[in-house]
Amino acid sequence: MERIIRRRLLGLLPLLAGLALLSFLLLQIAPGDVLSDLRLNPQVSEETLADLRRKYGLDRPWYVQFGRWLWGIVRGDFGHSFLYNRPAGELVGERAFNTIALAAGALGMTVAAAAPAGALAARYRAIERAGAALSTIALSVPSLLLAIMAMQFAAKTSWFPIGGVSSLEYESLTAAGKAADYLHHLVLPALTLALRQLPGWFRNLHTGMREALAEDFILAARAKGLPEASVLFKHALRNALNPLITMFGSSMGSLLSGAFVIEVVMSWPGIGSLAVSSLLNRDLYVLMACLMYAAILMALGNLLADLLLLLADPRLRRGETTGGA
Amino acid sequence: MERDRMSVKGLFCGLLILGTMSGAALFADFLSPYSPTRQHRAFPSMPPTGWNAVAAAGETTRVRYLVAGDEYLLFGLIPAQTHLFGAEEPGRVFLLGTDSLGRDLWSRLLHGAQQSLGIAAVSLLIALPLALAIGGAAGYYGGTFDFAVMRAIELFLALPALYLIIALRTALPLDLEPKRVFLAMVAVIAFFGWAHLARLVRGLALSLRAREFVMAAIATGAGDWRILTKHMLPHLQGFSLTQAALMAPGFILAEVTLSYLGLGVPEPLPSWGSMLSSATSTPALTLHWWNLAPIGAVFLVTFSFQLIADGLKRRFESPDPEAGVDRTPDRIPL
Repeated sequence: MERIIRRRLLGLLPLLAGLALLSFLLLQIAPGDVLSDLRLNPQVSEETLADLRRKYGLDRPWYVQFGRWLWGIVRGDFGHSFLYNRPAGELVGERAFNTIALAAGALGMTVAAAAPAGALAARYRAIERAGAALSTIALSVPSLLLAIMAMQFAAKTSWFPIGGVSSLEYESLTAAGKAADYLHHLVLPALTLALRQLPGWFRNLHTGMREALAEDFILAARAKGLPEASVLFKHALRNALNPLITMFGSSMGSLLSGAFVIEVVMSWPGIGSLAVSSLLNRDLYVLMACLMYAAILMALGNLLADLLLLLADPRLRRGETTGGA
Repeated sequence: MERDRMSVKGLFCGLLILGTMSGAALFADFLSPYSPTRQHRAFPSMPPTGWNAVAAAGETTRVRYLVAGDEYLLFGLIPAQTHLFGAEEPGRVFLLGTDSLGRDLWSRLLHGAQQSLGIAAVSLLIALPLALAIGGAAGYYGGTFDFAVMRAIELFLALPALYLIIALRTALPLDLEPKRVFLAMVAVIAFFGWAHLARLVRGLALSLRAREFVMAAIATGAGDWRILTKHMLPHLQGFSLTQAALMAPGFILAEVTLSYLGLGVPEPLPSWGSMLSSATSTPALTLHWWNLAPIGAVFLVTFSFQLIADGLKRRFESPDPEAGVDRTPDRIPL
């Protein structure tokens, strides 16, 4: 297991380096930099501009900038945010927590809803049909639309706060109150993201359950007179776990993309909304750090899925020494 | 069997919806009563009027057909000024109401379809052949070329879809000129879409290459080009069509999302994304709900592609014992 983790993490390094180069080049093609707006201001002198350029290293050729930046990352320094005047890594790290909370919350809700629904759909024809029809419709509602509708819902009912992670009186709350406040803000964005994920998970789980229910051990369980609930949720559901874990790995991309949209529309301060604002302000290093973080989150999610699969399936574990991953 | 007939019906319905919307986009100038950028200053944030025409003082006038109105160029070429319907002066007809600047939402929705659907269609027409060429060649030739292509693809797929779009978008100026915006959006979206598809094509090409008929073609001395185009490409036809249908909603949403963020089609040009972004301020959300009309349009297009993709999948997938088992994760990442 450890060997696999180590090998996978090492394999991640060249990918990240390549990605860093790609995004750095894209940013170099882009016209304008963080000083573009300042340059238009007649009160700012040429000398000040030149000073700032030198300070930020913008006067060097791109490969020097890239080299310095990459060397910084190796030492855990993601560069400096021109806009917030803070280390970019620190800024993005804080935001990443919110993104992870959003994605994890949504994932929890999705699994909690999809597991019973998928199991029952494999057993009962009516639920299967309703689920299939609903998921076709739900698959046609993209995150952007869902998020906007959720905003409208929040604005009309005022049951949920609109945007942000904390209320105005956040600082005066107790620790438990702070946590509750955060969760209250999290519910609607997470629910929105979960709704987008649900149809895919439902379909996947439903297929897995149908396959599991056709197995001989289900026949045996029924033959020895186990109650149907136990057959369904204990014996069949456990065997439908593998495709579910695979789904977790393959849905990382859509989870993070969905989170991106929801962060922007619902003003949830995650790395997605930070990426957009830093792009709009040409805050180069923050944008790069956001991209790096997104790639790392996605890769770690995939790695986690593979490890879970190893935990869940002893057959895979046995082949571990020959290198399954 | 029942499912098959259902999916054919679905395919038909999907094509019908999509065809109608594309037609509406093509004839947007004719079907909309006003120019999409014209401000009716007396009517900001008007609720939908339906088939009644409203005049300033709250009176109504009649709706007339084939009226002369704002001038336009049909298909960008033919000067014309006839509109399918319009209101008798001084009345106005706003099928879907107006936005906060007093522009007719129905006219903007139709013209927005031109941008949103047009950009997605052209991007698809670029990304699909590109993916077929690169993925096919990688799978067929193998070796270092394959290795290089696969690493490049992995690079593109290492980022979640929207982050990749944002990364690609950074390479272009923030403020796009209206004339260049179409090309710029196409470049970003096509570049974003090819990698996923190329990986699938490569896998298929790899397995096709080992099939007997390709071996036979190689044995008879056919050239690479001939094998790729005459022997392998026909086998990828159904797959390509299905993939195009699966990817199209993502392409449309890429444009809508970018424009929503203010990184795509700029005002005053209408696009579904830019319309939505002005609709999501809090007063508009609660009071002026008709501004959310593009939501319906995006849903309809996505839904139609969903039906089309389902139908095509069933039509082209080889019947096997696993038939009906659908393990493909949903391909609409946004």
